[in-house]
Amino acid sequence: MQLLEMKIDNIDTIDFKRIDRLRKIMQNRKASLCSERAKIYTEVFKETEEEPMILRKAKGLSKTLNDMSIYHLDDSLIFGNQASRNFAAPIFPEYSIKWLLDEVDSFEYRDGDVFNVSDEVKKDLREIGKYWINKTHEDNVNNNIPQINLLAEKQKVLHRGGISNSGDGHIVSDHKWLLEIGYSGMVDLINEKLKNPDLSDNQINFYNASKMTLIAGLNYAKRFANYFKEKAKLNNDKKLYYLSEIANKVLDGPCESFHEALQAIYLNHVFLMIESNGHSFCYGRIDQYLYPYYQNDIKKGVLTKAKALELITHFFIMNNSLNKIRSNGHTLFSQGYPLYTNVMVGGLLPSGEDGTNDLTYLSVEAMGLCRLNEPNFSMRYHKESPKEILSLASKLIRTGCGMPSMFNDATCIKGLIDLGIDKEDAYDYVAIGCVETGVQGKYGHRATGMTYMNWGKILEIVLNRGFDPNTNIRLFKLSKEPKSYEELWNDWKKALAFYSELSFESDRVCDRSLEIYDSSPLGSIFIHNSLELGKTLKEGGCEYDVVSQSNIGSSVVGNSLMVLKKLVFEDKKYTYSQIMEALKNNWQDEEIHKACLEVEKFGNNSDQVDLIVKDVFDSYLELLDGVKTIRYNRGPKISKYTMSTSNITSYIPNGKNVGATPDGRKAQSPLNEGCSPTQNTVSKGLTALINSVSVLPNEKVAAGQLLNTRISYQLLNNEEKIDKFISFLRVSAKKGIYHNQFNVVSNKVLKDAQIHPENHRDLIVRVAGYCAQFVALTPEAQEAIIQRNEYGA
Amino acid sequence: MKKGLISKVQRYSINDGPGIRSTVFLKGCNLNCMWCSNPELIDFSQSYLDGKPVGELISVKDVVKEVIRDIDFYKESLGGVTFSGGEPLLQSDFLLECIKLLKDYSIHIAIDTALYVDKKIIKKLLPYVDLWLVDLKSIDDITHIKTTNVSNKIILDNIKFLYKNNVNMWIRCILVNKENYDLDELKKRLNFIESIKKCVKRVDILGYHQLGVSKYQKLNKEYLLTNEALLSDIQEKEVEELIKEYVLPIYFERGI
Repeated sequence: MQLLEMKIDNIDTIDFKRIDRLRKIMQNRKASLCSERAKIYTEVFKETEEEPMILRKAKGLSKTLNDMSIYHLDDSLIFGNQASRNFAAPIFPEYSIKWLLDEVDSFEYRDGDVFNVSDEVKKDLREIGKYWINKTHEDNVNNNIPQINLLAEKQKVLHRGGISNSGDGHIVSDHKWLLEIGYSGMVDLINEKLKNPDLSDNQINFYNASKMTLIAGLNYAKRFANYFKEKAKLNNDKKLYYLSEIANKVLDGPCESFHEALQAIYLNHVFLMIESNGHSFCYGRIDQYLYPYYQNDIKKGVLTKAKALELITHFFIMNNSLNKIRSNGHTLFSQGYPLYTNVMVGGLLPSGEDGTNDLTYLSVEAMGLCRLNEPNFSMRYHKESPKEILSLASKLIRTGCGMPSMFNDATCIKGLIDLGIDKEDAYDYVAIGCVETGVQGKYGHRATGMTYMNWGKILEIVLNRGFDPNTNIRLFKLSKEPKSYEELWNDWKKALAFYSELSFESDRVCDRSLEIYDSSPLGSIFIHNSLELGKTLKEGGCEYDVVSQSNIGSSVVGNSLMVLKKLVFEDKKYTYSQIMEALKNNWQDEEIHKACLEVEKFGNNSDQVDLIVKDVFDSYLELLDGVKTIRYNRGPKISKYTMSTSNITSYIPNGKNVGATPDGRKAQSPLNEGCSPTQNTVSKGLTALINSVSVLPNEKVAAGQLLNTRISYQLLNNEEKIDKFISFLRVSAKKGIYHNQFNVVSNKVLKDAQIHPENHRDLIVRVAGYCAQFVALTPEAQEAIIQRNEYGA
Repeated sequence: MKKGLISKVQRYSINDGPGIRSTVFLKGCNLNCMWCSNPELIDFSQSYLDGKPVGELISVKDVVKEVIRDIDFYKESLGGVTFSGGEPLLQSDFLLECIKLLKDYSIHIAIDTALYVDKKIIKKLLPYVDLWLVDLKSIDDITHIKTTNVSNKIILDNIKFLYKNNVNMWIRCILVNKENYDLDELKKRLNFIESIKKCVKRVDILGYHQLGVSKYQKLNKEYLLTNEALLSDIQEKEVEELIKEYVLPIYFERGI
């Protein structure tokens, strides 16, 4: 194993073989289901039917942490397990059960994201399933979704995201605080709060629930202390005695070493992933809040750079032992077993200075050694970022693992400040999941991925004058065919406003239900101001409540409008109905198809079409003014909607539902991903791409503007080219690009991996705002990655 | 305003001079190198490759308009615009107009040329060009004639002329086994380069690669080279050893 670049003293003290063994375990991991949590929660819920949900949830988590089986992967320096086996997903019946029961026999036959389910687990599920029917979050959502929204879903315009049948997640605890006071310290703070005689019942319940789960977390660590001690005795194993010592005090606070700090944040993470089946539980700026512990240990002489690197690598690798199961439908939107566990390094500090330090460099090297799909590794950069860290990042990108994703501080920070977020907090932003940015320790809700809106479908409905050609459902009226581009544009705006209103209501229905079923006493407590207010995040116990939906197809819509504008309204080369006819028969008319393909497309630095795509963004942004979440005025300083194009793999299934579009796209083929250009429509190179994207209102897309760029390895194959790449990154930042992420793997390798998956289990690719093992994806998703535009030298 | 016959403008071009550049490919060449990897650019008129036309008459204004779009990238990376081809000096009036306009934006200009042209052309461009990317295909005239169809007398003379005028040069030497390469010949080329070294900012030695081969079939042109044109491992090592004997800034890129 080789480092990317760094020269580190005592590098031989790192046990590279051990790292390799751990990596192999994760590379060859097989997903399965574990019923332990589900059985325990069922038992608890049966016994507590009269109690408030927050206490029931707390009791479920506590009992699970106390009773679940624990195990340890021998080689790992980091411990803590989420379920009874490596990469087994727990079941969360309180969120939803129906799809699990319906689909359980098919999980092992999926095209991607396969899960093995033992007969015993199937039996357990069927057994407990009876209890949960009509008692879940999903049932609550289904009972409250308006009829018209269901019709819009049938049209495939709206898709209720994961939050309609699972938890929210998207929590970045205030890890600095967590390390300073530990779970024990938090219990003390809660006890203080409970002395206040004026608390409401709701507050008392919340405090008691949080306390209960914190104590259960402390006990869980103690269980590991005993486990290691017993094992250590068998052969007087020093490492196990050491781990036992760490386990004994890890969450007692304050944290005393770098190793303990890593262990503490990992355990907290695992607990949150047992409490809720949301995803995107993230670590935030590890190079900042872990730095005092690192520095202190180095000063004391108990830690070396090499040892720190080894520990971070183990910590990273262990995140691949966790798992989540999604329904078949949702899996298509979110392929490759993603957990979106984001780690963010680099960037400006709240003081305005650059925060790059030893741990920034070591984290990049650790990711180079880990090279698995989790964590989702991101880097912040700005105009003063040292060239050395950008060079190291480029070398990690060059390995092809798709990381780090590069976030531009200037744009991201401005976007958050414009929303009203305090300056210091905006400077402390992190990615929470994919590209959605928020403030660590202060955001209480997902910044993106509420309801998904298929803009490709909305366009198709506009072109068909209100009708969806697949279902023949019409929810609003449009006049006959548009006589001018302005008329067409107004129709688009009308349709977008109509469906957006529906989608906000879908969001609210999900949110009202999450407030009950995803009440998360543990996940809430280390987010400000949950402790202060005595409420969960979903009740408004957070400082900032900024959410967004996920909008899919901006480039397809903009390109299509451009084609109609030019060919029908300006040049009058074809009539509106001629184009419609060509779309209907999926481009059998080659001449019209060719003409449509030839019209300028987004991503080539061509002003006219770039500005139309910008108009498309603006048309949505102007709808967000004054839209409120259900937490408005209930606690958060700010409660708002913003926008995001972080739409994971949804551009593939969404495309499947959309017929041919005027941009020349064939029926059922994918829409464009994020704000990236449509596949096979760019020819002018990387700089042209950046110039096009810089036209968009990137800083207003403050929950994440996803740009995914595929470049050839030849662009990075020597130091000189890396220098040029760094200049490229710096100019991208200057031009206000929100972020950029890179795929470097050639089609030759990808195609070989399709034929010989067994030889490519180590192939990690950038899918969307996250990375995944290529061989775990469905054939469609694999193909969509192969079809991406590649920028060469 | 003048128009030039251009095949394409390549942006984020990183192999044609310092920094991030845009390379403007001009069509038409007066050499006929056996290893040419852009054979579609040799003719002085529009041709077809893969059913698509190669070469379009484009005005100075349009070329300038396109390349200045990336000015921020040039400034940050200390890059600029490279004119390549084909042989760009064969459209020198057009070239001069482009360059003069680009100089108004203080853009760094490089010209990628084989220098097989009348000295007058070079003279008129001299004040505006920041960097000359000069191909030196063989020092031996017979080899030069055999592999490129033209004598190197004018070329060497022009290189010396550039030297006298104290310009910046990057010199590129392609090595094709059995055609223009043997160790002794390379020594001679490098010795010559050493004699003008105050102007030579960089020497790129490029092993022969086969990237252009498929185009020959499509163009119905005969391709005379075989695998044997690739340098062997031993030859590559001897090149690497030889390079060490020179104080010139030499970069060797193995062929593929």
